[in-house]
Amino acid sequence: MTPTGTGQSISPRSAKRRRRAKGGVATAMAVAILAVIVGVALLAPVLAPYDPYEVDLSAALQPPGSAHLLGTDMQGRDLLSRIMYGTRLTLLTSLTALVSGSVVGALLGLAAVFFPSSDAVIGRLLDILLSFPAILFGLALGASLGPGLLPVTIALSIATVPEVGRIARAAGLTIARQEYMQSGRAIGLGKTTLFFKYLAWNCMPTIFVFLTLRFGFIILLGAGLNFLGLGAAPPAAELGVLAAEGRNVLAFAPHVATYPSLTIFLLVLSLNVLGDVLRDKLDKRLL
Amino acid sequence: MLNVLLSRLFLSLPVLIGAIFFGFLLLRVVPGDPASLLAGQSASADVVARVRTEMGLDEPWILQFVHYFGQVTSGDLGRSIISNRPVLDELSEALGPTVELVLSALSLAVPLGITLGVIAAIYRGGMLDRAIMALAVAGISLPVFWVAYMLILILGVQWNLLPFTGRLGPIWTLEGLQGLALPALTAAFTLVGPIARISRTAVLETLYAEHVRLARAKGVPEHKVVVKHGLRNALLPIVTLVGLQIGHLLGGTVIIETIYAWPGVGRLVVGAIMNSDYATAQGGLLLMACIFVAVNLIVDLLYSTLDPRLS
Amino acid sequence: MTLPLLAVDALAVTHHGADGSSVEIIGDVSFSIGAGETLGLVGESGSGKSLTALALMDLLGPNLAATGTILLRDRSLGSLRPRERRRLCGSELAMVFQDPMTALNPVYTVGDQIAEVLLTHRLASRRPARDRAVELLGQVGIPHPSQRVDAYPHQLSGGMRQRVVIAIALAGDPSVLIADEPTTALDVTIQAQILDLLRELSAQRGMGTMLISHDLGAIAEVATQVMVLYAGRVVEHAPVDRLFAEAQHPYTIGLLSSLPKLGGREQRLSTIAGRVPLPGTVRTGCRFADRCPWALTRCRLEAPALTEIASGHRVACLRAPLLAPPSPGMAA
Repeated sequence: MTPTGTGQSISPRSAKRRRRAKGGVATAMAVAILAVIVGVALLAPVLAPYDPYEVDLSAALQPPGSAHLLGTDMQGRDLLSRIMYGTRLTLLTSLTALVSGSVVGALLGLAAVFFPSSDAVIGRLLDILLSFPAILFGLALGASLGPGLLPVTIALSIATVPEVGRIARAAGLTIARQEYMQSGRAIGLGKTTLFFKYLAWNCMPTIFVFLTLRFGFIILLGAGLNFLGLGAAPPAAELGVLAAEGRNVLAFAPHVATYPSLTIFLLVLSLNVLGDVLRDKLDKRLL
Repeated sequence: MLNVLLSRLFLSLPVLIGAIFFGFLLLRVVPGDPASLLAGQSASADVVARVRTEMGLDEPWILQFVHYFGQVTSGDLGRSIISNRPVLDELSEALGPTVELVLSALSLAVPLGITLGVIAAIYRGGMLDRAIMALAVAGISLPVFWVAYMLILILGVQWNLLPFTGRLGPIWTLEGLQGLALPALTAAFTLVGPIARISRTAVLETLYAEHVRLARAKGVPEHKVVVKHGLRNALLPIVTLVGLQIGHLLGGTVIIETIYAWPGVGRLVVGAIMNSDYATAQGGLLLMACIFVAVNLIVDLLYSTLDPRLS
Repeated sequence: MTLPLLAVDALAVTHHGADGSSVEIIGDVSFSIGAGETLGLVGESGSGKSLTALALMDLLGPNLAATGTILLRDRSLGSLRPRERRRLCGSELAMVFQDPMTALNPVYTVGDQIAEVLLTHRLASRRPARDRAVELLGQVGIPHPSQRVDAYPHQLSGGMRQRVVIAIALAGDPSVLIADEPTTALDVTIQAQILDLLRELSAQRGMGTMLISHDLGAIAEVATQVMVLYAGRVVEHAPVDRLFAEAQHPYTIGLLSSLPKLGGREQRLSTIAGRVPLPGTVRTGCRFADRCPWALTRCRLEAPALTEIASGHRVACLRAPLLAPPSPGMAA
């Protein structure tokens, strides 16, 4: 319908139409990068051109070239193969920590909602855990149990518990107020069913989105702990360890430290981008 | 304001006690005899025995904890088996450098991050906004050690502008500043991204508030609306959320101190762990927890001065 | 003949969707307000009353665009650049918002927020601005203004906060005051006080006032002329006494009959059946036709134009002025 009258616009600024960029390109690229990295990591035993532990001192510190696509390190080991296996290990530890930590955290958070009397204790416990910087757990476990992949994995797991617990508790509180929870109780469903099928299942999306965002952070933390020497011991290949190995030769052979770090960066970046996109989609659904 | 301080202190107590408790647990979880661990590998049998009775390690656990608690609160944190100096001395020397690092990182990252976030909010949806946000996401995805490596390579090695090993002097000297520059820049780099994102969100949310509409209706020019009514109010959530980032900053300092050989608490703790110097490790972890609590207290205080509804 | 303070012609506000579609939310709104006059703008939620106010103040949201002519005395607002337009706000045109709790900034004192108007428009420097703020607080009826001037909004009651909002609106000595549901968020007893205040101030200062409300009682008290909005269009516009005594548009009649009356003998409150059509859904004919007990087939085909049926009384209804004076209670 056309407005009558002079048609003169009296608010020129607001007449500008806002074009909303979908950002689909970024998402597609993130998924692609993630797929490549994970795929390569999974297929490392098949794809890796060399044995990652094979030492060849005569070929030490070669820059990227035809024989070794990403060059070699100070012991002549092929960097590309080490990175492939390293990504495998990084992903394995981070994923294990993430999953175990989230299961515990989610159970705690949801239990706090489902059994309100436990909320005071669980709430305080989560608060106290939450108030420590994650790296402290890594350092503390490194101190007690000594360096190693297991202490690092446990530490990463403990670091995940409180945040997931808090998200689960918040999501649970929202869900628990919904009417279908009460109707479930009213028709006499058992506590286990109510807990798992109703409460936990409906909190899944929120928790899952949070995990995608958190995964990147856990990978960085794990790489950091490995970098400090608190994780896998050499000659193990883990991305953080590889980055640390490259430190002494940084000035004249930067590729040794750069490529592993770059891999970490790409991995975490794609996870963060995906996490953001998922979170925006989830927000739109809830709003 | 005093009661805010006191109540926050009171709430921090469980955290501090928790930290002491975890420190206590640390040695008990270790396989092996705590006494010989504390005394060191090379200690003789009667030194170990003496340590055992001194630390009360043959008493029941509850008493041990009470004993330990008393020791910690009175400042006796044991002795380092590496340097044979009291842990307390080592820690007090390491505290200064870490504080320097943290404060300089914050003073660089906070103004820059908030400014970038505000710019992104004002030009929402435009090229500048998307560029800043893309940089922010990249910033939080970068491993700390790589940022350090890049800065060292470019500024330290290639251009030979700044030194990158060790602390060269107190912060009020030129050499001190030069030595501090790269570590502080590295730490600031990791903070700018999150702060920019947080500021952008906070400012955007404030810009849609009703009181902003009223400010415009009063005829206040747009740039003043954004700063006086948008940013000023957005500072409240920004301060809170930046406070949450402090934990990450502390974590980052451990790695930064290690790479740059910066003599701070993080480096001390990592070294202690690698050398099985349990007393130092325990004390260092406790100190880190205390630093964290102290920073949070400061953030809380800052918040209460910014929000008149709380005083 | 003196120029009216505010003259609006064919004001329309359109919403532009992200996909390029546009929907007209309010259309063809025209009126003028002279010094000392109060225009009451009546309508249900969603009728577009607030949008009218926002369009005048250039406070429309990002997807909304306004067209039409707005004359402030002899100046056309549309020809002004955004910065010049913004300068008029607070000095010539002022607005009183609905909810004082969210309208006031919680981190500044009320004195600062009033003084900001004066400082922005260079009407006073810091000290005199603060003194003027104290004066204004007194004028809007706040006791102990010299103490209250340093109070924060959360330290004041709802009624006092709304007075502060009014003081802010008056600080720049505006010619036109727009009050958007100024009493809706307040207790009933406070409502009366605020309305009295508005009426007094309007008369004292010779301002033109626009009072937006869904409360017919408030309109009856304060307004000199009334404009009724339905689904974004003006359906009736008349001097206040005429509107309440001899409303001609079926919607207005329906609104008036739905008011509960003391001492009446009806057992039930009368209502208007149906719902307000959403913007963009009505294509032809009168927008009220589906709910109108007087509707003819013609009404659904031909959109009625606003026609003047008596001096100062305009109605958009094909059947006016053939309607008999309204009878008490309308068939539901």
